[in-house]
Amino acid sequence: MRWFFHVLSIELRKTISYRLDFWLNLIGSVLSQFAVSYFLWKSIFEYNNVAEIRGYTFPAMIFYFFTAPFIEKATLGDGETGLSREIYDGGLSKLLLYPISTFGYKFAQSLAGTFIYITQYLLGLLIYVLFIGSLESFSIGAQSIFLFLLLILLARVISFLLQVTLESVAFWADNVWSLMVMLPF
Amino acid sequence: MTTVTSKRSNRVMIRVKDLSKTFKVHKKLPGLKNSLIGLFKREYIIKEALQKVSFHVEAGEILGLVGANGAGKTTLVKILSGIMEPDSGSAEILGYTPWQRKHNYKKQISLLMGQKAQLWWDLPAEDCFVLLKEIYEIPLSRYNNTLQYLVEKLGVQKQLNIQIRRLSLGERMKMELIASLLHEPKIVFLDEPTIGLDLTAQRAIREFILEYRRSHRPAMILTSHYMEDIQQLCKRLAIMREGQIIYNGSLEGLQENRKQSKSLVFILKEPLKETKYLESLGIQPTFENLLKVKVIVPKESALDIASDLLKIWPVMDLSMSDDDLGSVIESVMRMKTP
Repeated sequence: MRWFFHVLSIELRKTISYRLDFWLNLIGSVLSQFAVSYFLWKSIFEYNNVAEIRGYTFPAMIFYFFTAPFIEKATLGDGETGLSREIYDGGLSKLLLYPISTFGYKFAQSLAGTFIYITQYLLGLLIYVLFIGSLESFSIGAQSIFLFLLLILLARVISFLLQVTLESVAFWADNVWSLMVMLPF
Repeated sequence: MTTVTSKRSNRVMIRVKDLSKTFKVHKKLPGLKNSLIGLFKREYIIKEALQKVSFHVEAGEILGLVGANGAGKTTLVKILSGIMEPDSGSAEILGYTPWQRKHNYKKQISLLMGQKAQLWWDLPAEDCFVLLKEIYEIPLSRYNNTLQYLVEKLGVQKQLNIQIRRLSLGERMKMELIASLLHEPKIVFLDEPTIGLDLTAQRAIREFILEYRRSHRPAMILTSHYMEDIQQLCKRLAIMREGQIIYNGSLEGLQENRKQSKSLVFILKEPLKETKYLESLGIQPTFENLLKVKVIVPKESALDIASDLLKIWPVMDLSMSDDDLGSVIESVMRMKTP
């Protein structure tokens, strides 16, 4: 199974092989996500002149709206594993020749994306702590962090299985784009 | 699957018998109307990609597989490497049936496709090789020795740490070769390994393949459109046409044909208006351009035909030579009935 971690590592190295793109993507996506929730909810709270909306304080609301999209990205990835594209263009041949599990290889690839999104999320958390508020009120401990990561991993497994199941339709029908669009619903 | 036991069979590493494969492809007629009809009703064509193909390859042998585009070469190679399953027939390679895709079988074969990059575009070659080491479970010392051997033979030491996409086509192909041979496969499928390379790179790749065959003695199947590849690397040749093997024998045997025919190349003053004379003799001319025509004729009547054509055609220049291998193969593909 050492190959699994090497595939994971290779995928991460591919992501960071272009410095400018990596930093722009990392900082850009965090800042844009952060700025949108911050300014949107700041104006809503100030306009209504309230301290809480449905039990959420301003920092808690930011935390929620900042966290949710990253969790979605970490669990769903880019919405597809690339399997259907590889079936279509013949790129799958390469994987079929290797004496390893093709689905295992694809899963390692998709897990690399989850790592990147979690890293972006952690960077966002740092910004949150520095500029918005502390995390004390959320009672985050080692156990909750462990459960959080475990749930993300399991959710990633489920979404991966759904994605490859739908993408495998490309063995019969060349183009499965519309099926993949339907998947999130 | 049982292992091969007889003395003769021990030498034969690839044994293929009556392999057939058909593809069902739908007709795509032109025009919007036909596209709309196609949404509800489709017509299909059955394409016979392989028809009862049989041959064998021994250890240390390179079998050249040639044929026009669509003749079935790549389909055959894909079936033998386990990517595809045939409709009927059998194949036994190292005692395995390829399409059963057994783990140990995959560890002993390699497929290099000249038209498809197998390495990771954005990474340096060495990173790719380390991943392959893990995928093929190659022990570290063996990996280091093999890599050193391959890198030295191909002269790419300095390129190991450069991103694959920044390498020249020749360097990239050398890296692809290293990636294919790193696990020292006993069976190697080379699908157009020199395609698009300059002459120097082609020669380097050919010399390396010969050297590797001498030192490791794998059974190899080489498909190529370059006759230089076939002439220098293969002693035996299988010519394919429309999914069938129409010639399976030695290169020398085929070259006997070469001695029996002559190649006439005419440079013309103006384009030809008709080729009735040749058609009456059952000879098909090949036009390299409007003013250059090549004709393959039987050796004994070469002078007579040349003399007749000089009278009929507006000829500026004529050269006569022994037929080249490519033309012999072409004429076999055109004329021989399986």
